[in-house]
Amino acid sequence: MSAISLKQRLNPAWLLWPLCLWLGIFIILPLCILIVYSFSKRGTYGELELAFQFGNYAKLLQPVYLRIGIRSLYIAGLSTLLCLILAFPISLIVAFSKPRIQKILLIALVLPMWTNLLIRCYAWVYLLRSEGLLNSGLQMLGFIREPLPLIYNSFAVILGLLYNFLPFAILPMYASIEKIDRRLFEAARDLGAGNWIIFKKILLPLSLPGISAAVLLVFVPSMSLYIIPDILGGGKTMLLGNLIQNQFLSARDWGAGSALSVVILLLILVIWLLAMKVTGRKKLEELFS
Amino acid sequence: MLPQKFFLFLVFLFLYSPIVILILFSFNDSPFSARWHGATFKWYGLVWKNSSLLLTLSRSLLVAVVSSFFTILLALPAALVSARAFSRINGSLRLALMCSLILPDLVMGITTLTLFSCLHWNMGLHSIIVAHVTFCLPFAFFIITARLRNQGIALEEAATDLGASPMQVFFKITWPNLRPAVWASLLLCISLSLDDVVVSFFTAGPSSTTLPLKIQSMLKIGLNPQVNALFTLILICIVLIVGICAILKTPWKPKTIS
Amino acid sequence: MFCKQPLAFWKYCIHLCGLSCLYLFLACGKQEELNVLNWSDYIDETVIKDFEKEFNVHVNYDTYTSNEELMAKLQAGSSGNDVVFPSDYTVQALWKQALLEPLGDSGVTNMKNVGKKFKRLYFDPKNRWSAPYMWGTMGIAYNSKMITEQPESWDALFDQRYAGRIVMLDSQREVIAMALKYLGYSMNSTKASELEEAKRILIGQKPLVLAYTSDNYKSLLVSGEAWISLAWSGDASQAFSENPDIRYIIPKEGTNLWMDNVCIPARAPHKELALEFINFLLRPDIGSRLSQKILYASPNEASYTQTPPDILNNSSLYPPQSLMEKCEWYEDLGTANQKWDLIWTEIKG
Repeated sequence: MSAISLKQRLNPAWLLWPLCLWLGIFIILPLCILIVYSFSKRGTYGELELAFQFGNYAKLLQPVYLRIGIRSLYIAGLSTLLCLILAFPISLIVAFSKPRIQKILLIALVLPMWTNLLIRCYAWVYLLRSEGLLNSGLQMLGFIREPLPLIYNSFAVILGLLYNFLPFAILPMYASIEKIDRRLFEAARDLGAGNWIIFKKILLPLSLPGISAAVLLVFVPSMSLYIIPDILGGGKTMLLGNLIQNQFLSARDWGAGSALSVVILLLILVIWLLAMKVTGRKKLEELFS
Repeated sequence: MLPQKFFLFLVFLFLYSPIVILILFSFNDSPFSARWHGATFKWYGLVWKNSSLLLTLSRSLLVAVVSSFFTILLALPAALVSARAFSRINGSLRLALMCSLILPDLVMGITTLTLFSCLHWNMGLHSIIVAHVTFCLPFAFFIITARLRNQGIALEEAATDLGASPMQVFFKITWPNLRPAVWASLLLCISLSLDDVVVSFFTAGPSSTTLPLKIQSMLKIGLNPQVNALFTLILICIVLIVGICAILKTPWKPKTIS
Repeated sequence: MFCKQPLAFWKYCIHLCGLSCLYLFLACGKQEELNVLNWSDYIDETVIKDFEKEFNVHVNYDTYTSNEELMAKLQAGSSGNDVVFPSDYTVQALWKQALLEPLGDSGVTNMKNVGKKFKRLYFDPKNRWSAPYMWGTMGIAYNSKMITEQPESWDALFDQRYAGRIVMLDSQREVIAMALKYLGYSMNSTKASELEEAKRILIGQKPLVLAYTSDNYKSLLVSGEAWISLAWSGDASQAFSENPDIRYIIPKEGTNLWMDNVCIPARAPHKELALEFINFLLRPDIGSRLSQKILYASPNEASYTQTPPDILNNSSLYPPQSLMEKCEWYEDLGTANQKWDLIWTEIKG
């Protein structure tokens, strides 16, 4: 019998329907609601008046919103880059450890992810503020005389994002590196390749799916997370997530908030489609394990 | 080796220093957590006696476990079809799942609440579970699909040639190989569900306050040792669960058959 | 016929079905219920227990953290709550959008306990939709050890000497209103020129500000990290009880008066019980207990006889009449909300 009919016998198409139905009701419908809202007008007291007008999208073109958008891209981009730079060597070390150690290391690295983010943010406040543990410790040891401004600024926001998303970056990168056939490295060494060549020509290209996935898993949520800029940034850094929150809550302008969400959605989908093209579809999904 | 070990040590220092601080200060004999005033267990006693806190904890655990279960129930069959059999629905399916991944929490919370209102559903724990399943689906789906693509269908073909029925093929071959991916998805979904504040706020019905919401309101007055004690207790639970899983010898990666 | 693995799989399923049944069982209430949604830390738990005992009901008590969150939740759909606690302009916005249930003419008999000056306010001229709960002012809270001269004016929050030690509330309404009042304009101004001026001085202030936060400013003041802050009266009293160096003043330019109210959302499932609850909260003894526990000012004048004098004489909670005359209530800004929001975004962005 042919392979296609065997596959279909083992995994009949009707198995797809529960998920499709669920997505249709709980994602597609809310998305439609969002799109309808994005064209609506704001009533006097913040209620939505259904309409079809582009005012909300036009509003987003104002310089202050563009500035916030660019800053969000910059901060999310910077923290993603730092995450990658830190996660890559970590994944390398873990992937090349003995299997038993690998398991323990992975669990230890991922464990913080399972605890409450809010509480951990407050813990960072204790560590970083001017009378906090880090500053007090450094002053006691004589390294500094005045406390360093470590909190309520962009530095703290990026640190918080890096801290939160590091495990998200490590997992896919590790999965990708772990699958690389070790014999390739042996062969390269036998042929006289140095570390840099091995890194450039073997390690980097083959771990690209992991890197792309890490970029997606870190960059996408960084743009819309608002807790970290609020708590660690002291509310002084307004990112896209804060802006959306603002529009929906204080400004009671659901139209503008929806338009902004739609724009972010489209932006990230475009990035994702580019990532798929760059790395090839199959490799991108192989890393999630 | 030494530079590597030192580097890993620094990384763990970075990841765990807030956690260690939280645990240490849960024994602090001062309600304001600013300075060390001596060790005490009284905050743990308070947490234990705080019945509303324990109730929200059990509620959150219930929501997390039930929503993870239903996430797998929905994602697994679809992943089987999507990874093996080519289907035109695949592209749009992944697109819809990506949308769920990208949409900010607040937007998802508000639009889901609007949807429930339009459908005239009563809110309660079930509405939170539905919302949690929705945002956990992409993670579970992509993890399981990746695992399936990795495996290849050769073993299943061989089994069918030898006369096994589709059910037998699934339970004896596919499911054992999938178990690590399913466990990974379950753990990830539970952690996502336990940490969610915004979506839970909007989709919660009365008396459906989950633990993250409760923690958020407790943190209104600043970090206090009771929250630290709660955090430590939750951490201990997580470590125990992970330890039990490890002891039951669930492999993180399946044994490859080469 | 089935080998061990399918059995294990079905075992997982059965366990989870069992859990779901347990949840359904727990969810079935046997008593009548009341669903209350309030600010966090804004009630005395013993009051709830007494209500449950007296009326033989179960109260489900949930919390939220801002008026805006409450409004968004009620705007998005009915979530089954019976009692909510919106602030003044939020009440107006809510009933204008038909999101509240009328209290009914004879519904709240204990309204007579509320002082005259707290009834029939602009946002609910006939008290058709709301009953007063707690009221207060916004002012300056400061650490008297670090700031030895008492601040008299809002300009203390713009003082270069306190650079890096100033905390502002993370709320566009409060911050911009404060700037307007400092400049001598109305806190509800919608005039472009006045708003521009306010924006200018607030952008100028930003480098001096340690943080914009509505939740953490108390702990920042108490710990000494911040020396001076825009603050709400009740929060300042709570901070004082934790650190006696914290003082609260209302600047000479005047400030805003706010009132939190009890309301019933539209389509509340237990309206009669909700009315009983509101009546219960307005009893003199209950009003006194609430005031003592959460340290905010009560509009329930009948409760004053039972409230300890040190609370009633606390000028941060109950300012003298001369200062009260300089205070303004917030009004809903209507369409000008977007102008204010743009300014706020420019300040924070």
